[in-house]
This record gives sequence, structure tokens and C-alpha cells, in this order.
Amino acid sequence: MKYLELTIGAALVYNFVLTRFLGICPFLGVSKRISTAMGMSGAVIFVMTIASCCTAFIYNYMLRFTIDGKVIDLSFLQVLIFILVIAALVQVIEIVMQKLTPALYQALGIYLPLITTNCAVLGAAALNFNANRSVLDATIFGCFSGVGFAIALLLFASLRERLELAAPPKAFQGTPLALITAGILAMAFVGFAGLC
Amino acid sequence: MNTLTGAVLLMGGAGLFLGIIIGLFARIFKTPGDSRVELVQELLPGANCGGCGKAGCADFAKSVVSGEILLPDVRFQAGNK
Repeated sequence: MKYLELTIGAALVYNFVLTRFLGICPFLGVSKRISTAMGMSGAVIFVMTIASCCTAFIYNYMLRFTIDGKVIDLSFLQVLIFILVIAALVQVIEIVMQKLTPALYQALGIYLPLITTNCAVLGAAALNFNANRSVLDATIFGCFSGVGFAIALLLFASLRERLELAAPPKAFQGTPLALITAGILAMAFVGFAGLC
Repeated sequence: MNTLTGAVLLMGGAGLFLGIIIGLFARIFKTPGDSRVELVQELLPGANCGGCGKAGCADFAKSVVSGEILLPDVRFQAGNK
């Protein structure tokens, strides 16, 4: 039951993009086509899962420990070390993707290194820290937060592909229409509130 | 051991560890690029002035090697926009 709450909560009720408003940059940036949106979603799910696992390990075992009966509290370093770990992870993923999937690497372009500064990834780590989750719980939370991001991104990308064919008034063409769509999507996700 | 040494050890250790990991991955998954691009790039001034119409010297070198730009066609425009 606890895990059901954790997963549904992370993916739908407290959706990172549409409820917490984190990770808006790739949400608007790579949602023009479904194929790139899928690549980005995959990369974000992967980074968020591993980053949550690593950061949970760090704050559980390395930020607060006892030596000779003295408690050493390094929790003020949380943001610094989270960013360090996330940046290194993204770097590794970039190297691997460049080798294994060059087409996807080209398609994602600048948005792949920008996962480093994607506040959704840091947000997941910080929320885990604040809720003091264990490594397993944090990993599950990170993974399903990524799934929530993917759901939002894919819904939005498919909506935008449909809207390409529509003929809106000139003032609404392009970004304004995308932002209105995002707003309506966010209102739809409010419907999940109170689920858990 | 106090908080200061703990902080220095933690950040230093994490940096060293992650650096080694990235280095290893960069070596294992090395993407062999076109070596001629590097040769052309060495001949360029490397100022990234944009006068050739490309994003930078690396981009220009890439276009020359791929045949997208033929050298006699290049017109440099310095200063006047």
C-alpha cells in the first residue's frame, strides 16, 4: 500500500511537471516531436532513477555519521554534492549515448547536457532528502517521478503534433498556444488531487 | 576529525571517484571521430569569430571536411554586419 501511494503520488498526483512545475525547460523545448520526446523521457527516467539512488545512498550514509562518539553533520553540503553526482551521471550517459545511439544523441542536442540543470532531477533528490526516504524508497520515487515526467511530456508532445495541423489565430501560433495547452493539461492533472 | 575535514574529504573524495568513473567511460565508449576535422581545425586561428558564417572554427572544419563548404567559395566578412 505504501509503495502504491509512493508510485501513484510521484507519477500522477504530484506530477513533477504539471503539479510541482519543475523541469519546464525540456517540457517546452523537446515536445515538438513525439520521437525526440520519447528519447528525452527515457533519458530523464534513467537519470532520475540512478540519481535518486546515488543521492539517497549519500545522504543516508555519508552526510551524517558518528566518529569517536562525535556526530558530524554535513547535510549543509546536500545541494553541492547532489549537483556533483547528477552532473557526473549525465556526463557518463552522454558519452554512452554518443557511442550507442548517435541519432538520438543528435536529436536531443543541447537538452541532453541540460538534464544536469533540470530542476526535476535535483528536485527529486531534494524531496527524498527532506522526506528522509531510504535508498529503496528514494529509487522508486525517482523512477516514478521520471515516469510522471514522461507521461506529461508525451501527452504534451502528441497534443502539439495535433496542433501543428490546426489553424489558430495568428496571435496564438507557436509558443502561446503551447503554453495555453500546458496550462489546460496542468488543470486536468489537478483532477488527481486527493487521490493519495 | 571535525566538520571541516569531513566536508573536504567528502567533496574531494566524491570528485575524485566521479572523475575516475567519467574517465573510464570516456575511454571505453570512445567515439572515433574523423581525424581530418582535427587537422583542419589546427590550421584555423581558433578565434571563433564567425566571419565565415559558421558557428565556430570547429563547425567550419567539420563543414570543410564533409564537403559542404568548398574553400574557394569562402568569403570572410570581418567587422561589418
